[in-house]
Amino acid sequence: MSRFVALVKVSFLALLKSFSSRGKNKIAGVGTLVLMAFLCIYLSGVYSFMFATVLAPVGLIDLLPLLMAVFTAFMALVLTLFGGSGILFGAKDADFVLALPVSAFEIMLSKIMALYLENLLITLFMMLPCGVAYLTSGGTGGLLFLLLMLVGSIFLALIPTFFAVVIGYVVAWFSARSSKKSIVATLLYLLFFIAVMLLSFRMNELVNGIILHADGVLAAMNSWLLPFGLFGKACGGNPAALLGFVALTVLPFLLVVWLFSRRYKSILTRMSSHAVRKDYRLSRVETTSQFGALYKKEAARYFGSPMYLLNTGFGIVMLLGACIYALIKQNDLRFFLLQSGLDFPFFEIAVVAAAAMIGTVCTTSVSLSLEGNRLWILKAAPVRARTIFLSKIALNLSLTIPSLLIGFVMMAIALELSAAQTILGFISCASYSLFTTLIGMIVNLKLPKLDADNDTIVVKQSLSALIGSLGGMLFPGAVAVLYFLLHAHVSIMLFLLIATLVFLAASLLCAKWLGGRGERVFLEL
Amino acid sequence: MLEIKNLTKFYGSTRAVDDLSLSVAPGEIYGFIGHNGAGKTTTLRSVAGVLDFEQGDIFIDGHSIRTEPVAAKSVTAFLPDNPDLYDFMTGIKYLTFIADIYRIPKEERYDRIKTYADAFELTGVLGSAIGSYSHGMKQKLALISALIRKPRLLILDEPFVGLDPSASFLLKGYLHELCKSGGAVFFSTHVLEVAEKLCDKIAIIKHGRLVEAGPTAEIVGKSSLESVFLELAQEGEKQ
Repeated sequence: MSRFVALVKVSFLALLKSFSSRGKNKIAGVGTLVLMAFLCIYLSGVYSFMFATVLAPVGLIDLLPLLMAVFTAFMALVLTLFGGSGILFGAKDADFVLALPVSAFEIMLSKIMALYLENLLITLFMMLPCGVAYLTSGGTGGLLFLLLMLVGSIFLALIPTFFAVVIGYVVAWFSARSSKKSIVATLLYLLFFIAVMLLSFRMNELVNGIILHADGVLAAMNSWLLPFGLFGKACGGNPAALLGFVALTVLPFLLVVWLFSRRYKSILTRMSSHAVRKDYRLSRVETTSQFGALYKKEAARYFGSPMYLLNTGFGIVMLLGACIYALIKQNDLRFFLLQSGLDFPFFEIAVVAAAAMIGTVCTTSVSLSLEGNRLWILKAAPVRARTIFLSKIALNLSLTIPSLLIGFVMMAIALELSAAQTILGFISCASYSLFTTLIGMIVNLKLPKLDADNDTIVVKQSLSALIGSLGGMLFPGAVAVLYFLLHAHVSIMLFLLIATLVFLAASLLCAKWLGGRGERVFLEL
Repeated sequence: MLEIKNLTKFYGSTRAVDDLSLSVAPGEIYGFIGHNGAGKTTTLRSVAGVLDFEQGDIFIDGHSIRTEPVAAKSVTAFLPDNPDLYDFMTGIKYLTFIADIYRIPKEERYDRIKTYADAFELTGVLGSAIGSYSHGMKQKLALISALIRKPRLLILDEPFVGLDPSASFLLKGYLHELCKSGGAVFFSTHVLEVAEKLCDKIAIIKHGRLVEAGPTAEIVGKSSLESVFLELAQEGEKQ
């Protein structure tokens, strides 16, 4: 038992370390946690009070903890979905840990604890505002309710962990059996991601008609969502429900860990063993420029890592997915627009949504961190740091700009945009992407995470990754608020033109910083 | 070829390298020895331009690594003690990448890669991902990537650790070849026998300070390098 506790301690320390950067940027670790807490509390607060205002007047406030528990588990799963495989099978300590006199079950459980602790933090930060919204909207139970809800949250966090482990294991199992491990892992994760998104649409429909379908929701809580139903009753002070909830979360979790631990060593062995072909015959050797070589290296790194690709590329998938959906449903959309009248700001919404989705695509906020122990190759190379930055910036722009171009062409057809709207919409989003790309590079230079054990930690848990993707997604919202305040005085076209010029000017300033101070910061890494 | 002037490097408040000065002339193999944590790797990384430093300057072929880093690095090849390479690339892609970065002429790169890859018996696996290589294979690939540049200055941190005997023998031959053609080698090692037999000059570093430097024959004298090293180490402890 003490050995297991020691392993858990190591996993916990590894988790804490994963949030921090080295040297003078230790504050980044605290910053990551604060940002994560803020995001969870903000999201949960918005949804909790929104649901409470709908549910309280019709006497259904008791549904709030149940709904928020489902929402929390779902959010935690989305945030940790791509991490399961990396945390279980991607750490570099496999040789060391497997040589220890500890069972595979204990090793696996200790590693999963890291994932569980992350989910526990998310769950606690998400459920706390729900409790406040419940009690301030006429919910009963007072402090005891809050206490029981927090106790329940400890076990609630096991649900997303269970699914993240199962998905991570399935991905690892299949990719370990393939010679194209990265491609198989990417495809499988995409498949799971689409399934989770489809489930979220289904849940959205359920929530939208919550009052009409209250009976259906309650029925679901007693059938396929039984753990959440028991969670709700447990928060209400039902000890049998609490025991049932604990049993329903803990037992399947332990069973899965035990089952998977039986194949843990063989999967690790398969994942770390690669066939080396010895029949290569040297023929023509290609030639390209220094920049070309660096760019090709960046592209190979990007498309060779499922974690990197999926976490920074889902904005493109969402943008193109939404545009394709708009194209397919264009008749319905036109009918809706006709009904809404000329005042409906469909063009404004489309531009903000496109900017928000493309803003999440920020490879520059992690690409330097991903150099890790290999940074010496670039630092010893006879290349200016600005050329290295440029290759990383070029990769991100070559992902976002063509996606925006295709997206706006599709939007123009689906929403019948004018040529001026299409061009200005595209240019404003492209200039925003240029700005976020350069800011991402600066953030990664200032907050590098060069000592991560695997890609998962860099692209999911580092502060620069969070700032890059979340900041990129939320900033268009702030710009939209500014437009909302000014729209009586400024037309959308003029506003977009000004925004484009501001983004270009800000990009110029960022480029100047990167070419000057940025080069010195790079040398100090 | 290499001139280190009053190099001082701090890690926080710890002085890792303290006012270190030495020079390596063309044609010389210069060995750099010292106990663990003495400052060898810090010095080598500073020379290679991988690590920034607070005081002093380093000149490679007349170019300051601080003010003319690109010119200095163009004539240099550096290999750390545990060379982490791009696992996602194949061996040949990595060599091509290095050839592009160091602007190796198109007409020469095939011959250079073939010569060294054949010599280190690595040609057959160049089509496989580096991630699938053993430690020794990675080290050989890193050495090939350094040698194809035909550097004027080769900086190596513990180059013989992990190499099999035939590869070590081959490497020694290439180091001599490089020096005969006017280049220079500056390397660190813990293997005192290798340093004694291979090096024209030796520098011994302790607690970041240079305690002895000069021609190998003069330093070793009539005893062995091992006894000189231990003697100097003990003197350092007493001081």
